[in-house]
Amino acid sequence: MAASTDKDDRGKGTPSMEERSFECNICFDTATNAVVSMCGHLFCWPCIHTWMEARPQDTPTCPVCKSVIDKEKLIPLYGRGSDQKDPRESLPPRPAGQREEAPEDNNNTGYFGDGMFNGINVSFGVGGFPFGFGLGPAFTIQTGRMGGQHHNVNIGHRGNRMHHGRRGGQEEEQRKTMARLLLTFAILFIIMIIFT
Amino acid sequence: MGGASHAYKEMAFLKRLKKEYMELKKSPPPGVVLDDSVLENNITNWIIHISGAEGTLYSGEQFKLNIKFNDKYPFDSPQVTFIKPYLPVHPHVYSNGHICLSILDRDWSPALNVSSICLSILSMLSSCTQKVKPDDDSMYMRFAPSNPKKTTWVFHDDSV
Repeated sequence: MAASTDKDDRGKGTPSMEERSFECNICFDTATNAVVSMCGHLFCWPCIHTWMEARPQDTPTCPVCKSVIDKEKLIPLYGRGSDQKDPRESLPPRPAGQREEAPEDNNNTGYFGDGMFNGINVSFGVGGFPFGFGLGPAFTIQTGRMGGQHHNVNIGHRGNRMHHGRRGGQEEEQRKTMARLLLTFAILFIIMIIFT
Repeated sequence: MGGASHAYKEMAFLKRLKKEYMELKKSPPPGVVLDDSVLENNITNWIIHISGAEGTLYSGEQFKLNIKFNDKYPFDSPQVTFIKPYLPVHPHVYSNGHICLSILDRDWSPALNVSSICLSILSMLSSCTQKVKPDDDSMYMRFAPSNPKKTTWVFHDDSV
C-alpha cells in the first residue's frame, strides 16, 4: 500500500459530488490516465483497457451505457500535471490525441518553384560528390555519403499540410506518381552503384 | 513487470471493495442492510440482508444474500446467491439459492456494484406476480454446480 497517498485520504472523507464526477466508472477512484468514450463516460485508461480485453470474443461496450466502444475512439484527457509516474505505465500506452493542423496559406511558403514539383526533393550523394535534384522538400534520399561503403536510404516525409491540403486530387496524384518515379529511379541508381 | 501490474490490480480490487463497503454502510439503498460481522475477517465474502418492498408479494419477508468476489472483480461478476433458508419463492430463484439474473452473468458490467446488484434483485422480487419455484428447479438441483457462475444460464424472461 505504498502508493496510498493523498488520493486515499480524500476517499476517506465524504467526496463531494464535484469530486465524484471525476471518478473512474470502473475502479471508483479519481481517474488517472483518464480517457473518455464517445458516449461521454470517464475511465482510467488501464481500467477500460482491461475491460476491453476481458471478453475478447464480444464487441467491447461501455460499462455504463452499453454503447459500442472502440480503442481508437477513446479520447485522452490531459489535465494539468497529469503525466505523473505510476505503476500503470507497464500497461499499453493510452491512445494519443488526434491533432489536425489548421490550413495554411501556401503563397508564402518560400519553396523553390511552384506547381506539381512543389514538395518533392530527391537528392543523392555518392562518395564525396553529392548531386541533387532540387524539387522541393518532401522526400530526401541519401546514399553512401561516407565513401561509398555504407548505403543508407532515408525517406523523410515532411510537409504535413499536403495531407489536409487545398491541393486538388489530380495534383496530389501527379505529385505522388512523380515521387514514386523518382524513388524508383533513385533505388535503381543505388543498385547500379553497388553492383558496378 | 507482470508482478507489479498484478500487485496494482490486487490493490485496485481491494480499494474498490473498501470503497463500496464504506458507501453501502453509509448510505444503503432502502431495504438493504450490510451484515459486517462476517466481513471483518474476509472482505471478499459479504452477507447482505434484504427485505421485500412494501406493497409487493414479498412485503415483510427477510432474505439473506451471499456475495463472493474473486480477484478479477470488477471485471468479472461476483458470485451472488441467496442463503438457505432465507430465500424467496420466486420463478428465478432456485432451491439452492442460485439466481437466474442476466446482470450476474453475461450482462455484467464493471460499472455495476453491490448496491446496484441488490437493487436489481429487489426489483426482480418486486415485479414478480406469482410466488412459484422455477419450472426446472428439481432438474437444476440434480445437476447444479456449487458455483452459479459455472452454470450456463438462458435468459428468456424480461418481465420479471
